[in-house]
Amino acid sequence: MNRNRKYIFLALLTSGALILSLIEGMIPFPFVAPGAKLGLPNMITLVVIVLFGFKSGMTVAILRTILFLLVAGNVAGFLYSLSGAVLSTIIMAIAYRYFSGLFSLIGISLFGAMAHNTAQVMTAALVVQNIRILSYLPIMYLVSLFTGCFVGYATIFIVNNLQKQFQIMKWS
Amino acid sequence: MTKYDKILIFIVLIASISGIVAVNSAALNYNNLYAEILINNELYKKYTLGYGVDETIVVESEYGRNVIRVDNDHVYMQESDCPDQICVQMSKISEPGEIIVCLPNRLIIMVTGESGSIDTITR
Repeated sequence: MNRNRKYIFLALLTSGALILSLIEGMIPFPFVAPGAKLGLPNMITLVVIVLFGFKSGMTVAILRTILFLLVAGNVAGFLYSLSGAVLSTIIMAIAYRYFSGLFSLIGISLFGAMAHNTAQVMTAALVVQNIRILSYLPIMYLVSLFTGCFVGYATIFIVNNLQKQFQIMKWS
Repeated sequence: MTKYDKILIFIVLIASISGIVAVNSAALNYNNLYAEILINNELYKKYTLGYGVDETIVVESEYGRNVIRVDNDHVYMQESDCPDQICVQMSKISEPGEIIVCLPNRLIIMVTGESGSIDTITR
C-alpha cells in the first residue's frame, strides 16, 4: 500500500474512532460501576495496530483523544482519556507483537481494556491525591472483561473485512 | 478464541472478584464504629467497637449509677439505679445511629460511625 492510501485510511479510521467515542458517550452503560464505558474507540486502535503497526496506532489514539477534546469540550476528562489511550495502545502493541501466537485479538483487547482502566484510575488517584481510589480497580477489571471480549470480537470482524479490502486494492 | 484467552479471562475473573471482596472487607475496617457515652449531653467516654473489646463500665455521676457493658461489637446497659429501668430493657445496640437513653440519670449511649466511602471522578 502506498503512503497516500495509508494516510487516507488512517484519517478515515481516526474519524471513525472519534464518532465511536461520541456515540459511546450517549450510551448509558447499564452496569453498577459508574464511569465504566464500552471502550468502542479501542476497537479502532486495535485495528490500526494490527493492520498498520504500533506507530500509526499511537498516532490515531492520541489524535482521537485530542479531537474528542475539541468536539466534546470535556477538558476535565482529557487527561484520563489520554493516559488511558496511550497506555492501552502500548500494552496492546506489546501483546500483539510478542503474544499474538498465544492470544487471539480478544485476549489482546482484554489487555488493552485493563490497561486503559489502570491508567485512568491511576491518573484519578494522582489528580485527587488519594490512593484509595485504586480500590475501584477490581470492579473496573470485572467490567472490562465483558467490554474487552465484545471489543475483541468486533475487531476480529473489522480486521477480516479490511484485509479483504486491502487484497482487492492490491489487485486493482 | 484460543485456550490462552480462556485462561486469561479466568485469571482476570478470579483476580477481580477476590479484589472486590478484599476491598469490601478493607472498607469495613475503615468503617470504625464508636460507642459514645454522654452524661448530661457531655461526652463522658468513647469506645471503639469491634476488635474484641470486652469491658464493663461503671458510671457514677451526680445523677445516678449505671453499669454499661461493651461486648465486642455491641453495647448494652446492664444495671441502672433509675426507677423505671427502661434503659436496661432496651435491646443491645451495634449499628450507627442507634441509641440507649437513661433519662432519669441523664445518660445517653450512642453508636457512631465514620463512613469510609470513596468519591471517584472518572470519564
